[in-house]
Amino acid sequence: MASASCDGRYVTVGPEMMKARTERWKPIAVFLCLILLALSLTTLKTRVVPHISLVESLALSVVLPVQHLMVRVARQVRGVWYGYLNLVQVRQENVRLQQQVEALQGQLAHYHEAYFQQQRLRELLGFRALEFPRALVAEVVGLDSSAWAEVVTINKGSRAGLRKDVPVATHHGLVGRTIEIAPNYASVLLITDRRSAVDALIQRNRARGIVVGKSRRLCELRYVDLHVDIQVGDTIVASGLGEVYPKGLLIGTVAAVHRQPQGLFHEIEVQPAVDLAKLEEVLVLGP
Amino acid sequence: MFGVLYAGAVLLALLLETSPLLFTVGSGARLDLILLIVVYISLFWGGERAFVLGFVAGLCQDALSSEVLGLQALSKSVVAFMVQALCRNVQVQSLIAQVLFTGMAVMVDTAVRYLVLLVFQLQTLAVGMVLSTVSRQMLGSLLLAPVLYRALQTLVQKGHIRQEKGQRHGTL
Repeated sequence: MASASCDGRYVTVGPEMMKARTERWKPIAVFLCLILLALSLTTLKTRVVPHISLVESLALSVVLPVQHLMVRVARQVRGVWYGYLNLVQVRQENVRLQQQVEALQGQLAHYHEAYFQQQRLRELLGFRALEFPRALVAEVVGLDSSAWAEVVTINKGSRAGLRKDVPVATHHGLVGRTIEIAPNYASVLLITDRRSAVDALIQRNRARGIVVGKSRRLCELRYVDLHVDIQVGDTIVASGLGEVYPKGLLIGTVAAVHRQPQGLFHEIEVQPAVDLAKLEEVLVLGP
Repeated sequence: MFGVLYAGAVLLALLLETSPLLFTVGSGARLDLILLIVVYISLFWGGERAFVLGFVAGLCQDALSSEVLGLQALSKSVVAFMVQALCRNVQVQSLIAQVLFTGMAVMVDTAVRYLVLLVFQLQTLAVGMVLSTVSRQMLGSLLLAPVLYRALQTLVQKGHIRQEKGQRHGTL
């Protein structure tokens, strides 16, 4: 076999030399092929396939049943521990709780009265009550494998009637929305994830803005005019625009307001109403 | 036999990484166990197999993530390639070498993912948040890596898994 050398002369290249060259370039060729494949997958997922892929579905069906089992066992062990073994100071706790129950019963009667009054007023004014008759209770069984994503996996999927972009909440407030649906599981994008955006209102003065995830269990309220009066502790609720999150659903409270001398908008930090680090059960609203 | 060990290690790593019992959402202190497995394979086994297995492990991680498919596969392949290329003339049994390569792997993995998100114009974390996350992840990885590598190497020796010709005979 012959090939041209740098000075124009032809030299003979034997099969051993060819083999050595192939061996030398093989790792780089394999590496480049893998890079191309990974980039193709990324492009495909970004541009073409919004739904769950075969690879994802396969991984979910292998890992999540085991994960689900582990979570259940751990919760049962914890239940046994708190129910039977950890009985230190239970007597004192019991006396204290009985006193607390008596105080709370008085308050409960007062709240019942206020609740019935509010229901009557709501019907009178023709407002639609914030009720979710088709809400499903789901259990958090997994986290996203990326440390940058604030996404949890719940144990209800398309078989339970779930679909994409359904709001998820707890009795404390908004948690997020479903983004990927497998037959038995679904991924929920939390409101603190960097990819989440919720159209919102400040309850006190009805000023509008967009609650965007900031990661680390914090959100940011953007696009609120500098002239709007905002105070720490103001309640933020969903505006209902965008037709994903129901109007009036509690998002959180204003944790800090940074006033910018230059610029058009306030910089507002929002503390979510739900403690997202301790999510165990969630409510999927109207699947 | 090596395939069984690899599949078992990846599955266990995925289970631990995505477990709500061990980690919490948004804490910024999540360990990338798959990355440690990829570094182990690159350090102690080498060859093209290292980056193919790195790619596969990354793809499995992608499948359980809401990020774009292929992002972790890409970053893990690059990490495997770099570690494998740089550790040729290094005594991988040395604890310092293991710690240095693990630290480098955490940084390369983060940089590749960040770069891809920027290139594809996808939403990324703020730089400060990335640095804070990577510093926590690095600290945890550096502490865990030598223990994990020793455990995996012991399993390899107990399972009588032979390293093929041309691969490093990594013993601790």
